[in-house]
Amino acid sequence: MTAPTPTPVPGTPGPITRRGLLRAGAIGGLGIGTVMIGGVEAAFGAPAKGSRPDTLVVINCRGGMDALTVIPPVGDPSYASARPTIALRPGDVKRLDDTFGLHPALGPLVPLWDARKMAVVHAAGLSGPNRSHTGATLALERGSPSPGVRTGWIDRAVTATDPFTAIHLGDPSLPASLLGTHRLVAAGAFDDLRTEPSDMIVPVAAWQTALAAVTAGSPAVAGPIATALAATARAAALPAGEAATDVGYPDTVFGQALHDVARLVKADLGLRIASVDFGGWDMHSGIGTAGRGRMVQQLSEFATTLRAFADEVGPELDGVIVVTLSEFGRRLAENGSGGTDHGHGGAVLLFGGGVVGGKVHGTWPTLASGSLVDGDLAVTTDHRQVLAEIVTKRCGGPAATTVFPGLSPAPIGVVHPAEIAGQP
Amino acid sequence: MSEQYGSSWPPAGAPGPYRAGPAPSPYDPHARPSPYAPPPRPSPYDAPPSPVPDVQAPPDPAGPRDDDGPEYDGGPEYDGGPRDDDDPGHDDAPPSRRRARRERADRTARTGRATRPVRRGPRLPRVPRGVAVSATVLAAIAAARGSDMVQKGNAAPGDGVTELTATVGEAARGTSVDAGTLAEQQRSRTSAAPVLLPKGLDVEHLLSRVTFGATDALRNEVRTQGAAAWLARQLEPMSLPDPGGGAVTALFPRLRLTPAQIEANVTDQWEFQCELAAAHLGLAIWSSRQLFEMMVAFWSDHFAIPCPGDRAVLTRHLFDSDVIRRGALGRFEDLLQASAIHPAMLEFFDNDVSTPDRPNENYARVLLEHHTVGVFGDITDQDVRQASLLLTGFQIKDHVPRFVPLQHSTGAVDILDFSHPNDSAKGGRDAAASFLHHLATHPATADHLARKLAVRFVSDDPPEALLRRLARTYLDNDTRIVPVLTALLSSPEFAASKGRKLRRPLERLTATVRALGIGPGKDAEALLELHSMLARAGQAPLGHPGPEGYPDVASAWQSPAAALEHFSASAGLAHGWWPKGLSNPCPAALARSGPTTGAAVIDAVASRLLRRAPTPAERTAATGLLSAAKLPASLPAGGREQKEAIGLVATLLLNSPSYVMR
Repeated sequence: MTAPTPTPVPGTPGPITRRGLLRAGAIGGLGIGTVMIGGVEAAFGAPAKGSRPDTLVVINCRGGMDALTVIPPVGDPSYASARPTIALRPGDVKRLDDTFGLHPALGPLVPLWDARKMAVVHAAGLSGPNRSHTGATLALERGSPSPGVRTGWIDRAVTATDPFTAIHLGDPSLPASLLGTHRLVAAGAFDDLRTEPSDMIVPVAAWQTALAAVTAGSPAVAGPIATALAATARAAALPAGEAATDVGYPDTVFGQALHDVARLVKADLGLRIASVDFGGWDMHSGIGTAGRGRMVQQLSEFATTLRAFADEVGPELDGVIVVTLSEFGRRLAENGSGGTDHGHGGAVLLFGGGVVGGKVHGTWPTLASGSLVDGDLAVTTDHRQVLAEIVTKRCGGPAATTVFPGLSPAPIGVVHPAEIAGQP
Repeated sequence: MSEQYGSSWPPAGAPGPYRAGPAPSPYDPHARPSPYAPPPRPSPYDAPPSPVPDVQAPPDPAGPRDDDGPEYDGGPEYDGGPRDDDDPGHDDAPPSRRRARRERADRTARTGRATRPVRRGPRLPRVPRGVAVSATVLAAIAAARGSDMVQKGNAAPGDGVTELTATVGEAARGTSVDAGTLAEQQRSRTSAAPVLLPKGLDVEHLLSRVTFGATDALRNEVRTQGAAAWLARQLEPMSLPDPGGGAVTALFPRLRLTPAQIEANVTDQWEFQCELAAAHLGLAIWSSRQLFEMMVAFWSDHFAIPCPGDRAVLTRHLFDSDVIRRGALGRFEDLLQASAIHPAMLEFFDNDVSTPDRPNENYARVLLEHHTVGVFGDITDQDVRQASLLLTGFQIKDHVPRFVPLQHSTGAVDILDFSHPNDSAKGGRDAAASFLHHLATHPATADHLARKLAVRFVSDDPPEALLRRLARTYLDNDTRIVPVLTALLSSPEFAASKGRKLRRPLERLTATVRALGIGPGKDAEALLELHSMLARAGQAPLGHPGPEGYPDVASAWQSPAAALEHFSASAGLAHGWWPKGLSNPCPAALARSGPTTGAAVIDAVASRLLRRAPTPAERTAATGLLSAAKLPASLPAGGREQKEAIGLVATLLLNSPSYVMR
């Protein structure tokens, strides 16, 4: 699949970045003014917001997030009765609206909600039920239930070839969402992208030449190492940051990954989409209650990490959209182990300056027995609609139908239109 | 850090998770336990199972390991010559390399990655990362389980509660399913007849597929025995002495502990679990039972129970010894029956707490989607629910599985094309075993296993005709694994598939260590460091967090990070830099003739690692590297420059398709 080429900036090599624009402006002797870039007006000297596409941060909540515990519908009369031992009570939660509350372990995120930089789309998920981790994850990451679609939605959403246009962090293996025509990078931690000490005996450029020569003719071998060495050269541009734990992140792989994303955003290396894994949601047992159990631990790590991320990127949060995805929600009824089995409808959590925040979006189908799909929360919002809206309105990505073949775009208003989104 | 969202929530200074720094880890590698009790239990690796008095015991695929066998001689390639312990920290190393090593060490210390692997963001089961997490999680699970037991009432003795033996060959005994009898086990393993291999089968191809990397010693074995006879012996692994494997297992004595001993004595349970994974890696590299270890890795992925993890901590190693290693070359049905009732499986997938009124679907879904008929089979949600009901009644007490009739859900079931009246609680064990028997012998399971084995040994997209033959062989031979492997390896499709498979990070590392002639040494830490390298490359042995196991096709392994890690690992091993503690004869052993010019080094290392002269492209590339390293024209024998040149050329070749493909 051919992706549209990025909008060229005359005289400016490389991807469009705010710094690049500011530099170009300064060199041209422009103090305050406007220029036209590809038919879109860019304001120099104006507030940073909108002067470049947003960076999208996708958090993959692997295992199937129980949205009915994370954003519990405490106002739905069927909720408590279906979950005698694990339902949260209205008094346990931060009230979001007449129907929904926020799990108390998400406390560190309440200021973001109150500042309207956090939103929820409830009853969101795959268009059709798929209760298998493998099948549902593949449909989610490819952005299509069709087996004919073999590339990932993130691969289709990026339009540049720079190795840091999109990156997967927290896991050295590429998820299906990043597989396809672009050679994208995955790393357990950003600092793993190093060649030392081999590069101290022989410069990386010489390694690149030599390895390209011996791997020529074997693309499966040549591609990854070439991308890796190019990435290490770019990675050297990232200043050494503070340790994640010194800036409020928990000492976990997820915390390190979001810290790495924050460093990339702040360094302005052209990152458009970051993908980060956060597993551990497959809670068939011991979900627990408002004050203890696996969900409290899970959400505490999540909230502490997200809050540290928001604090670290600071005002640049206005140029970032964080979105959570999960392959499915959980069954409405709890099982005999204080957990829940695989279900259907879930929720998408959103953070960032461009989010229409302080609001639970979507259409609540209710938990009345007649509304359930085979015992599960129904899906009223295909999560691809949320992603398509973000990618096109905020991130300067290609058309929604390019990213999600077969989708009929129906924006639901989860993000504000960006002043500039670099759209053709 | 800026606090732009206020500090109103949580209140400043509030205890709890919001502001917590890193919690002290219960798995702190530095908090070594007091010396643990001597193992009362025979090691899964060292000893054969206690013979059953009235039946002749079958040969044990996991034993006997030779505690008093021959000393490991340093690896098949090592000739006892002088070892080279040079490394970048040696006094003659240039400052730049000393700095590099120091920085790397600092980084390792900071991230703790020397002994704590970077986990992939766990896909499904969550791994606790601090004491608070772990304690609370476990307490929550225990609470849920406890209340469940109270709710249902503990079955009193006399209610037909039966202790079960979750060991391959024993698991289905006592049921009406005639599976896994010892006599049958024996029959399945007495096929010493040479495998009929096609004439002219490329020995390098065979070795690259059925071993974790060819060595000169292996080539010699095949040459002297003949490929067919050699393969037949590999299919009867207990006939092979295994000093290399013995040297590895001797490094990990804690893997012989019982669950109760671990519970009582092992405080660094994370590290303990890493030892099992590191032992797996070590056996893959150094065991002489190469095809056996290949199948151990295969079944460990097929019946994936992530290790290290936060579940089944005390019994995961027994799953390895009692199920996977005993059954790796036996009957699939025996593996399935034993795995289903093993405490590690019961606990990990919550089947031990699945009850008639509120069944837990976790295990039933994994059983159908991954262990048997396959995820893309025609499994409905109704099938999963019915299967979870049929599989109720299996619990764990004191780490031993048992069947509790009062906890079994009765009532007719209809699952795929299996139906059963399931009309008595006491008959629940038999009903479940019948269901497993049905699944093991199901044509869809045969197709699923045929495809996985063909993808493992032949190509990412194996020919349909081969798959049909393998599935047929599987069903015709009562789910025995060896006949399927034999059919596969003697097929023309196998012979024609040379060089088509991409080595995954595990196989890249094993092939590299084996080709370099590195021995295990006497330090378990070195193996744990190799394990960490694989974690950074995305394939820690036993570490896949999902029930589907690691993928086995090239498209899944295009990660630049994995390529980079292999680049760094191969450089460290070939130069003899790290990990410390291995018995590493490199770089000197890679060029014994002592070449003193760049061109001679290139010839010598290519001859050693590729067994041929370098291609013009390889020679040009290697020459470019040496000139970029600014090495002198003459390389004094035994000097730093000569070692550096050897290491550079070896690193280059170890990252070429000759090593990365198989």
